[in-house]
Amino acid sequence: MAAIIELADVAIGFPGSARPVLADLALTVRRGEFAAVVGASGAGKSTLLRIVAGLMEPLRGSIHRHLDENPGRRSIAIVFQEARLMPWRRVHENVALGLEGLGLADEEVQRRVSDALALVGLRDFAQRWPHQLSGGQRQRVGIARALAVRPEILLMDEPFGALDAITRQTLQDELLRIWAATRTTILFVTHDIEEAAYLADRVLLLGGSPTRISETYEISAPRPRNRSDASLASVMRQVRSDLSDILQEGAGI
Amino acid sequence: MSSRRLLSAAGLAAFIGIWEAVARSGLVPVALLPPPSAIPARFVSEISLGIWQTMVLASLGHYLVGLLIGSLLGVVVGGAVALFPRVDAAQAWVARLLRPIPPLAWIPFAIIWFGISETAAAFIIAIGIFWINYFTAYAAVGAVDKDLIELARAFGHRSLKARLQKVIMPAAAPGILSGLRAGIGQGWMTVVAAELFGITGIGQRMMEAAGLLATPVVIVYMATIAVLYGISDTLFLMVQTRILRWQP
Repeated sequence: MAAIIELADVAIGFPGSARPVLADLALTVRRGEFAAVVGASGAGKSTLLRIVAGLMEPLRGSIHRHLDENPGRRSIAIVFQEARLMPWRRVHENVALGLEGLGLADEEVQRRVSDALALVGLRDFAQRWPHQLSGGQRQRVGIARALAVRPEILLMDEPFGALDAITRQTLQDELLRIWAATRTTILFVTHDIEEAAYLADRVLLLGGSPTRISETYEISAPRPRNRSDASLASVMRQVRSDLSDILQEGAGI
Repeated sequence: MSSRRLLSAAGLAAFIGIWEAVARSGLVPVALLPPPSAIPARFVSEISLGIWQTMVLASLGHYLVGLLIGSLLGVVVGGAVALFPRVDAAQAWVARLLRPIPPLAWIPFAIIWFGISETAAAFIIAIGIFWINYFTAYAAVGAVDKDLIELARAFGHRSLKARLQKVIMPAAAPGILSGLRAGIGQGWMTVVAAELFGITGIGQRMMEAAGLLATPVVIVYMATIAVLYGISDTLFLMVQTRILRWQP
């Protein structure tokens, strides 16, 4: 598969801090794949996504985004951990955020918004205000907003981290269904190893100090996925043990 | 009518009743405290002489010009200062120096600069309203959720204009609107004082009447201001509720 995103020797730091948070980071995301990045809190997972999204500039290194600049879409879309809905916009207006300024006709915007809401099962909620939605519904709106721009790559920053276990599982399954239907490349960041293994084709482990991609695991479990698949369980064990080794190294144990 | 409204109405009736009783009891000279029953007749005579209309229209003119200029400048300057840290730093001490000066302390300069004129009255009204809006807009724009600004950037809205339009103005609207509403009230308070030095309007008429101990006339205009304030506040509240209908 061809690469869609390539990062080489990327270093990221914050002003005033002597050590970079991420250093010598190399990462390739392949077109059409579902890649998950796992790492402990503070490992720089969200920062990595912001760099890919162009919301932050790295200290050094190169970023290649192999994207088509198509006027009717945005190549990159992002879903944050908190839904980040604008409370003054109705659901359909929130979903339309990324479509504004693309020069689309009103009917096209409406059609895309309603398709995106249908994909996340919220077609009947278009006229609601954000405060009238549950946490899970709000996050679905955030996903619909990202899908509406028809991105080539969808970046997801722990999108289900703040939800209860049942809602989280439902949304994971919905995301897999949407991914199977749209085949949009997904780069998914999470601290939840089970979630990463269940969703992704490839799990990248972010660890060390400064942080880099220290391990990569190909997940060969067949799709549609089954949570009790034995091969998933063995990958999770492996990731968990590698992660704990990294954390112990970091702590100097 | 709800029991709360009934009680409020009863409270108002009791207030007027006690006032009437005290005024008629002879405990206080009538010139010092006229009974409320004496007011309607004076109100009618002020209207039939055409004085009331002239004074109210003149005051309304000063009020509206002062309100418009003070509100607009307050919101724009307060918002801009919150948006640009360097501008904020440059003006911080100037604002701290000028802020504590009450609007009425500007009266001498208002007269020197604009003469005894409508402009002078509008200027004094605008000053009070400016500071209210300056501080509320500053706080409201400063408190806009940075995550929403990042969100807008992530979805392609990166220019200052887009940021203002998509995030900052709607997010700051509740704060800015509450400042505008406070300014509407503050304006009515300054309008009388601004006219006390001889500019045609409610304040001037009240001074005249007080000089002649025509206290019922003074009360006619006090009540007029209360009613005008009530109307403008209610109208604004309707607009505000409509704009902020998204709030839970």
